[in-house]
Parts: sequence; structure tokens; C-alpha cells
Amino acid sequence: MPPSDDRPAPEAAFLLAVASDLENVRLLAEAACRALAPVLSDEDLIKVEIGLVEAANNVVLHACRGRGEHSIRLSCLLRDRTVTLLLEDDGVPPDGDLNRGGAPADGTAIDGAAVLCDGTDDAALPDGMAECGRGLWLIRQCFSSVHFDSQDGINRVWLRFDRGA
Amino acid sequence: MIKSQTIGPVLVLAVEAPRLDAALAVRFREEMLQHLAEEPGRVVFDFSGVTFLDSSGLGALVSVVKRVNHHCKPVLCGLQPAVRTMFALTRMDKVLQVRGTVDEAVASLAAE
Repeated sequence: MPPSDDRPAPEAAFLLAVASDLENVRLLAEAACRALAPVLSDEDLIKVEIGLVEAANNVVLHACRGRGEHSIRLSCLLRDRTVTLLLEDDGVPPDGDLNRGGAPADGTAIDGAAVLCDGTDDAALPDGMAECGRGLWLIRQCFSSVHFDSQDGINRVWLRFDRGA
Repeated sequence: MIKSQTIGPVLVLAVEAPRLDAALAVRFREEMLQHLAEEPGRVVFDFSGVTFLDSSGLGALVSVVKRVNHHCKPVLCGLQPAVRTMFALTRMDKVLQVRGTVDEAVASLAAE
């Protein structure tokens, strides 16, 4: 079913916090799908789930080093035709200067968040027979923009999806 | 996680894992390779029991296909909507042979 624009959109909804274990990524995805099913088409819901799972896998494997001792929080914000998922973790900040980018356009993230993709990304799809390396590419395909920030021991990734885009 | 059956000359491996994701990818690869150890010539991978596939699961599938490529070219079938979307996004539907049902996949191999 296509999303209905007549539904009141909540400003924000906290969905779930889980230990940073790959087994728990499924729980994050299921919580997001339950929350977004009333406002997204089946096709859009699949793309959001694919992108969210890839982002959460990256958080578990890289920021949290694959160990379950950290926590991951998922929140969802609905504004007009935009869905923004926020992943927060208390894992290791990434190396480099990821937190020196521009602020996200929809104002749902704090100033200074790095733009990981903004819909103009033209990175090449990994080779068809590659056994890894598709995760970030898929995140870029599934979301309109992705922003990252790391401050005060918390990493944050904003995944923005424009409904009907 | 893998259920096998033989239909005529074709080995059919049905994946019985609703979410083939990073948490299961290694186990999936190992179990598939165990079933394929005897190097069957014609193989179908039935994905009708898989409702979600992430890039780790896809990578494990590609790894299996590469390992058996010297003795067979597996045909996939039963792709559910989210798996079809993953195949379309990554263009794996252009790389791997995909059919709708087990019967169609078996028929395509039996005709070879």
C-alpha cells in the first residue's frame, strides 16, 4: 500500500536500544519496519530495511569491533515526506576527519555532521563476483543522504529517506 | 539451515533461514559447501525460505558460487521481494541465473 499523507506524522520516536551484536541488528530492522510500515510503501520499506541493516552491521563490526559490550540506539523521525533514522553507539570513533562535514539539510542533525552521501554519489558498484565491499555502496543507494558525527563518546549516523523519491 | 533433495539429475538445496544476514553468513557458507562437497553437476539453490538478505549473506552466496563454478553453475529460484530488491540493486540478477520456482529451475538445468 502506498503511504498516506493524511496520517499525522510524529515528530520523533525512540525505537530500541540493543547490545552491539550482529544478532541484534535484526531486532533494529524489525523495530524500524514495524514503525514505518504505516507510512512507507512495501518497496520503500525494503530499501530502508536494507540500508539500515548495512549501516547497523557497520556500527557493530567497526565502531564496536564486533563485540557486544557497547550499545546501539535507534530512533526514527518523520517530517513531511522525509524519514530520518538515527543510529547512535558508544563504540570507537572512526579515524580521520569525518566530523568536519556540513550540516544535514533537513535540520534533524546537529551542526558539523559529516556528509557521507547526499544523493549525488556516483561511486561504482563493486564487481559482481566480489565477496565483500557492497555495504557502504548499498547504504548510499538506499538513502537520500547519510550524515555522521562523533562527539562526547557517541557516534551518530543519520539515514535520511525521502518518501516517494 | 540447508535442506537437500534430488529431483532427477538435479540437486536442490533449500535455504531455510528467514534472514540470511551477517549473523548467519559464515554458517550458511560452510553448510552449503558441505552439501556441495561431492561436486554435483546440476544444482538449484531454492531461496523461497529467505525473506531478507544483506550484503554479508550475498557475499557468502557469491563465495559459494565461486567455489563450485568449476563443476557447476547453480541456478537460483524463489527470490522473495526483499531478496529480489537486493539482487536488483547489486545487479546480481545479471550475474547469476535466476528462475521463478524450483520446477522452472530444475527444468532449465534438465534441458541442458
